[in-house]
Amino acid sequence: MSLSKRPSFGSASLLLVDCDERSLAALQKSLQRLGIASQALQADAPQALEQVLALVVELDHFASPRIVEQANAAGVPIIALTQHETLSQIQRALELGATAMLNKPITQGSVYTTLMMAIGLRQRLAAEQQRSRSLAEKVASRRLVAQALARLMVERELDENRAYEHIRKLSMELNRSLEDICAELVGAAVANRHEGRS
Amino acid sequence: MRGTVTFGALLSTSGTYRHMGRNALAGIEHAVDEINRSQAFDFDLRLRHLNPEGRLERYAEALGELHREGIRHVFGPITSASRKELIPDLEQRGTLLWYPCPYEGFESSENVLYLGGCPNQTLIPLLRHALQAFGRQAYLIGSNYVWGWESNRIAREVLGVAQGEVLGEKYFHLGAIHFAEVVEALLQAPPAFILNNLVGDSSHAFLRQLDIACLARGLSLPVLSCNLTEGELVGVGEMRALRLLSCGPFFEEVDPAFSQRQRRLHGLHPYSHYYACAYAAVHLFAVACQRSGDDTPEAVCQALYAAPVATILGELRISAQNNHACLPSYIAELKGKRFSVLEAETLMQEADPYLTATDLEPFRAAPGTAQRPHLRIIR
Repeated sequence: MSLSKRPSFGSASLLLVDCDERSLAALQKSLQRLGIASQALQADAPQALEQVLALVVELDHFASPRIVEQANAAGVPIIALTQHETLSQIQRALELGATAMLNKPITQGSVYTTLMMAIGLRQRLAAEQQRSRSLAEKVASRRLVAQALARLMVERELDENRAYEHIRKLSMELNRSLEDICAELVGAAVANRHEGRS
Repeated sequence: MRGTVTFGALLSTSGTYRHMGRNALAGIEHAVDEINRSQAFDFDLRLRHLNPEGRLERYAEALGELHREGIRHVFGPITSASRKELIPDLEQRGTLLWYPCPYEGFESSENVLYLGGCPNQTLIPLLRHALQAFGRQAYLIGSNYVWGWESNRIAREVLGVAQGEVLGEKYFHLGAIHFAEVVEALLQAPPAFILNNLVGDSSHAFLRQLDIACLARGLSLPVLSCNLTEGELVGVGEMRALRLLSCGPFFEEVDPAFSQRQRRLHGLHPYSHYYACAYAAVHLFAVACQRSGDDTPEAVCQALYAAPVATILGELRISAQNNHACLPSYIAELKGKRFSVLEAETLMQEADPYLTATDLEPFRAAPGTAQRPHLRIIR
């Protein structure tokens, strides 16, 4: 398991979403001690997320579904802030895409650890999602690979291993994915059939 | 008539890291003696020292004893493990801890003044020097608690950026003195340098055993430690094969006149950075009490945030943002019985305890060419 890397704090800041005055004051004081910049956002005001390290969203005053949706789409970590320890709030945090929770009252020692857990779990989640997408593409292309193998076996009278080796060699020589080569071989066969008919 | 301001010290003058405790306590005692003789202050300082004997469970008990006596300023302790034991009680009682030792960072309590340096002021400049001078393969060793864990993690991160390699990493309980296995591993595959985060007797035993083994094999290994000072030399003994490098805000050679004056006033003593930081801390405390006319922790902190104080370490400024001191940074090598300064940054370095403002990119350089944006060679 690879450990998450420390993010670059240089020009990035934490977006404090729908936080009440006391939470804002406590968070800003704590973040200043950590050397991390922050900015407040209320009621879904427009905000670019390029330089945003993470969102802290106060659940009790939540009024910014659009920015949370954008953050989830962009893979920006979300921390839910609440004064309740109830399961309903925890479930709400998970539904919003939070990867960590911060409970009030906010203590100095809890802010950095919560932030780093949120970032670390978001990185891990993003890596798993990427892996899952890649596996899904591979599974989806299995039919294509089988068709391409079958075509080579019939047309060139090769056994399965030699047909596969032929595709793999093409993939390496042309520096293209195996799936791409198979798609082209099958596509060419279909085109030939169509030409034959006309 | 002069009033009296009483403060406490929790320093282990017995136990496995007693040399550090004794050094810091001497700094405090000598400063109190000098301040009480001075006409510049309209009060006397009275020190109440308790010795927790290096036993973790004794620190909170001893702090309770000081609290029962009404004390709200406490100097010490030495290890991060003991400091972390004290913080919940300090925060609950509004007591201020004056912490005079280097530590591993990632902390910023409003009830602690951090006066001994954190990694961007100590470990990172030392690693920069080692990567340039010795190479990029390191072995990491440490005592098995947060100081060793986090200091070595930072080293791993720096080495990662510098495309270096960690050949091994080992941890030992405080007080461990048997290192045959790790010494053999080091001889089998010698690294470019070793980062030693062992503490007290463990560090001394490791260095002695490694030195003997290296001498027998004709090896000369560089060993870096941020907590090795003049105060430890009595435990380390004479090194015949190892090159010992340290870093900190003070070494005797930095200000020989001060060391000579202290010898004249207080006798023979190692004037290490544990000594100098504790000595400076008492001066900060006295000046802040004098400036504010009030010895409550809140008033003392405000007085320190407001303006720097001239100390043996330089003009010390305490950041209102994170309670850490800006400090000078020296890298020194043990030559015989003295530390010789190799690099110095006398300009005060801001503390960056969470390393959020510290750029490690300068380490990402061609082999053996890690840049040195901060320190300059002075000899």
